[in-house]
Amino acid sequence: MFNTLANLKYLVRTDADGAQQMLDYLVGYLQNALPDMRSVSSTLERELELARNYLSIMQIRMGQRLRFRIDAAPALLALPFPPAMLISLVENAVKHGLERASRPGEIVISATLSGARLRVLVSDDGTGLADQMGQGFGLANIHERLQLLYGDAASLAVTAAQPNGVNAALTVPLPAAKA
Amino acid sequence: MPTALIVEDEPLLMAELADHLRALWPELEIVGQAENGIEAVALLESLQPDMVFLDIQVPGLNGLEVARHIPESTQIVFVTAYAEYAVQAFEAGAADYLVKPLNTARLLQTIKRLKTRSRDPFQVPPGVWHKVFGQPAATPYMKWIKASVANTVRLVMVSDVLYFQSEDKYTRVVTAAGDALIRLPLKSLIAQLDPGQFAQIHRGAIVNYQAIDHVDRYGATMEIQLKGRAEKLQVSEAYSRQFRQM
Repeated sequence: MFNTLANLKYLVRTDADGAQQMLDYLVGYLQNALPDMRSVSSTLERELELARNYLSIMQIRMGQRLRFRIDAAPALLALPFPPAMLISLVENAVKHGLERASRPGEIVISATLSGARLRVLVSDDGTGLADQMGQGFGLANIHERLQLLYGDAASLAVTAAQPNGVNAALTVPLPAAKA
Repeated sequence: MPTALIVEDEPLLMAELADHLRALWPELEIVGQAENGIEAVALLESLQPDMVFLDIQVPGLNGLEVARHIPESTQIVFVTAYAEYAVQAFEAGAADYLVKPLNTARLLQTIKRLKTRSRDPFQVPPGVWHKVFGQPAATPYMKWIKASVANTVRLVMVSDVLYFQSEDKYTRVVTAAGDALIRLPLKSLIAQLDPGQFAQIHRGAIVNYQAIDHVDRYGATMEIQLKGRAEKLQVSEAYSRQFRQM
């Protein structure tokens, strides 16, 4: 956050349009991020918007080092999706995957239906699972919340991507299957 | 003319700092800019600048690691968005510590300090910084393990592990969803596990209490029956005390 404000401070002085754009992304991010902490359910659209705003901010900050793409069929957007999980995976991909890499990288978010479940995959081609062990608070937290919300019907799978990077897949049941 | 190197991975922040330095300290010559730690170490060596403005969170080597390669003749100013690195920064011999977003008045103070300061490092005993900023938090227990399954690598939740078992130079990680292998020996593993959740039961095995159905006793030795699993785990005599009746 403070790094983002530091960037904004520079843009205000040197590039008014760029500053305006950064501010729009930041407002979009905060609008989606703040109420989410308390709500039980969100939609895929909203969670993707949050990720898009965050990634747009990071793209201004990191310049050439970050590219991203979001693939989701319009029909999926209205589906319910638990709040604050996707953004946490995307932040991991940026912080642990791309920010540490000295070469440019790409993050791809894709949402697909697989049977009666919605699967959202966050892939990056960054440095990969660098440490043998992680205290991985974010991941443990997601895992726990998925269990509470859906029991065994939902899952979080984090695997190494080929040739490098990480795939993190969140799978949740569709509303009909949940009942 | 005094010379400076700037190490910053975000291009706009690099431009911001350089602009401010040029405006506030026209005599200072910015001789180099690095966007990652490895580049920084190389430039420090070839340029031998009088000072370096060093962001802590940069790719490659982080700023604190870069600081270890900096000769005493180069003054270090850490620049970071996080105040929590202050203790380590001053222990690394920092002349100053700036928190982003930069503020002109504060940067002027730094410049004044750099101009008047002789090159001897700012000597503060490490203990003092701990007193001022508090002790660094203890390392929490491990929550995830990176393990290989066939030829892929997968993160396994530690709470999902039923037991760990030594196997030659590997450790087998057994979960309800399948087995995986890690290189970490049990001895290093046990130190990072929550003792309220895992217990060593044998020189070669660690079990998750939650996975235990019951413990059978056969004279001096004991055997653990796991919930919903066929295999039994031996408890060696040396580790059997924890399962005796209270």
